[in-house]
Amino acid sequence: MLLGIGLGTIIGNFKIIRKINTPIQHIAIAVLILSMGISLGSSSTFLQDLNELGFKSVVFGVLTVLFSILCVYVLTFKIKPTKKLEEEDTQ
Amino acid sequence: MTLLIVICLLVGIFAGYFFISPEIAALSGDISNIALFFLLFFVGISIGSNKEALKSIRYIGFKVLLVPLGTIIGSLLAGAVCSLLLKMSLQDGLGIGMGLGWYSLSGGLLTDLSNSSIGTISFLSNIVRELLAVMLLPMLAKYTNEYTALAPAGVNSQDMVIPMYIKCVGQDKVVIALFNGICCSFAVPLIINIIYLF
Repeated sequence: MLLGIGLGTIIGNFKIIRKINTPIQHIAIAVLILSMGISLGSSSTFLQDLNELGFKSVVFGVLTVLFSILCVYVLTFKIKPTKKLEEEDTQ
Repeated sequence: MTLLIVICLLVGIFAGYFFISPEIAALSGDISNIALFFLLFFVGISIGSNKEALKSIRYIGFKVLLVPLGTIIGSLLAGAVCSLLLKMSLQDGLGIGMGLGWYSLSGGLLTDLSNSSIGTISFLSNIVRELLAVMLLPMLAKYTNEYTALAPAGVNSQDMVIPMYIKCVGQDKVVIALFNGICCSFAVPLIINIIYLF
């Protein structure tokens, strides 16, 4: 990733890189999810696990959202809203 | 893209359950590793080439860093609490919590670093997170502030939630969302790998 960031600052503006970047990311994601599905489906306890995994996923999803909201709010509630960019440019 | 991901997951599960032998299924770990390297490399290129968002920090100031910071701290705390509630290892709890809405990457990464059940929980919980991010944004923008509105979104604040954010907070604040998304994209693979180093 760091190599990508470094290269991105140098070659990221080339048209060809911009053109191939998104399709390659999509292909990599598809392969990644497909192999995750294969790995999950080939488990001998797959059907038994499914109910349990669904419940745990909802608990994780809801609590990460709640805790993130609390932490960001605690860190930012005293900050005034940002001004518009044009206003700051003229100052 | 979301449809493609769901189709890939269902096809993979179907193939793994009915057609693919366990020996061949074991190879899927190596294949996902290679895909993961490619994905991280090209995500890095996306981040590195997005100079506008990085330049715009001077307009907003470094307080914008509080959004990804709060999101990461909150997600890790939630992961620790979930690991206690659901009787899982702390490492897996923190790893799942640290997905920050990036279901495609964190699901694959945790399948490699832990096991396919943990990868699947991460995948599904981050889909739940993305849905909640879009649903809660208008309410959070109205009753909290422009920073907290982005807290549930994590990585998705640079793509999925942007239209809603612009509608609720304003076009001129979009750089906050972009910057938060970039920081979270950088943090997810880095922190998950650090969690599993120990």
